Amino acid sequence: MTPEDQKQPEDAARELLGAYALDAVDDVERRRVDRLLANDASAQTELEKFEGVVDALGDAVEVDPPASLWASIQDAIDVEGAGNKASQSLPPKTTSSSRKHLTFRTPVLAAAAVLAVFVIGSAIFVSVRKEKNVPDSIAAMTTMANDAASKPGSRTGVLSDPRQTMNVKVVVDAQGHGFLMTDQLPALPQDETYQLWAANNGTMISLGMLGSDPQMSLVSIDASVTELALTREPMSGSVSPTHNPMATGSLA
Amino acid sequence: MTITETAQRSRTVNLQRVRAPMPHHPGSVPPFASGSMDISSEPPTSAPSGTLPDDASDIDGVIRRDQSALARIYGRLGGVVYGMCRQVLHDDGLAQDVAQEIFLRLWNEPKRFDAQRGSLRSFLLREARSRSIEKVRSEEARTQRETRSELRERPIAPNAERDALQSLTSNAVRTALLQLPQDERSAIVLAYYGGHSYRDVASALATPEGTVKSRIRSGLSKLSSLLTTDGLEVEL
Repeated sequence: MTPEDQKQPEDAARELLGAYALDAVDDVERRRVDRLLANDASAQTELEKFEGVVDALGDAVEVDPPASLWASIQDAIDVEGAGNKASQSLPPKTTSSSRKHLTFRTPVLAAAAVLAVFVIGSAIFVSVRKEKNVPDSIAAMTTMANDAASKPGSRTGVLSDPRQTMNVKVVVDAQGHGFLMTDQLPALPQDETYQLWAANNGTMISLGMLGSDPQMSLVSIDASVTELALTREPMSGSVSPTHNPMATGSLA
Repeated sequence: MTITETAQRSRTVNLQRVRAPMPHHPGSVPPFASGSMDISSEPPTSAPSGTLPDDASDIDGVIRRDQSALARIYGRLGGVVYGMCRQVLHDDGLAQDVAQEIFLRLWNEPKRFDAQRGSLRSFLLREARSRSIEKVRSEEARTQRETRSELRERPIAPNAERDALQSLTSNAVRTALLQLPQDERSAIVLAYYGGHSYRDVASALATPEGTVKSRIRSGLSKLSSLLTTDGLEVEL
């Protein structure tokens, strides 16, 4: 037995406070520290002190962002706003290579009304949420998915739970644009999100968060990805899954 | 160089400010006037030194879809968000992508920010760092898939600590870090600025994990003292 093993759980959790403040712990350890913090005022005080330091460390990397960053944020917002008014608009300007994947044309412009655009990992995904009134967008994206499924090089699959109570159809076109029909997923609490993962030899790689109540999502899915999994995660998303997959499936 | 010497040519930062939402300073001028306005295509400017922005009112503005509120937030925090992304990613283009994602997500889901749990600055810094780490891991995984190699723990570049210290824009923080014992400084710099877990750091330094945990904790405690030598305020 190592000296670490011999420590009381509270002491072991207390020893993690510094790494916890730096967000350098795993999920199990994070929960262990959370339990300590819930019951130990001295630990809370110590953590507050550390968090002040961590914020100072964060401030120490401040640099002037390029002007194009604000312009791209504005453009993305303007596209959403224009879409909400059911008018046509251009997609957001891209600022770097990774956004070149977002090259859908007319159908996506029609769907732009409700596009929440996030860049997660190597993926770009666009999620249509139920709270928006978006039948036209759903229809446009469904058409795109069906169109993609019929073309050479596309792959399809279904993510389902063991009881087959939910089935998320997935279509990935030859360019890696993945369409997920997520309308069967039950709505999660607002502080949670669905997160899509690529399973690679037991390692889960995040492909993006889909929101708490998605109807349809577009996700960039690399050609090497064959196994997918869907989990529920805290709204901020997770670096690795914190829950067992709700649904899994293969692409072929 | 001492912190006091550094103080004479830099700006003031209050460590306490990051822990709780701040009241609006009566005499301060936000980078944009409140209320609805047309947003210029020019990037918002940074908040004037000494401004105490009001996170809560700006978040309320974002919830009301007031773009000027987002512009004010960007003016205050765009630099630290982009800087953190750049620090972890070491790529300006990727950093811009992730920083854009963070502000768009704030625009689309402003209620994710809980003022009871800390300042907006802390929230966005955490977002910037965690999203950037996720991006790095995703890029590494893609590369490993392409080369058909096994996924491994994230390696740490030989000069990662030196590079991180050199890139800091705050002399006070750099000075404080340099006053730490080498082993504590390495553990903190590699974990925080490198975006590594303490386990990765322990592996890279060939040091027991428990030792690295202790060094991080001890180092942060010393940094707290170094950065708050005169009470709450630190001159940066």
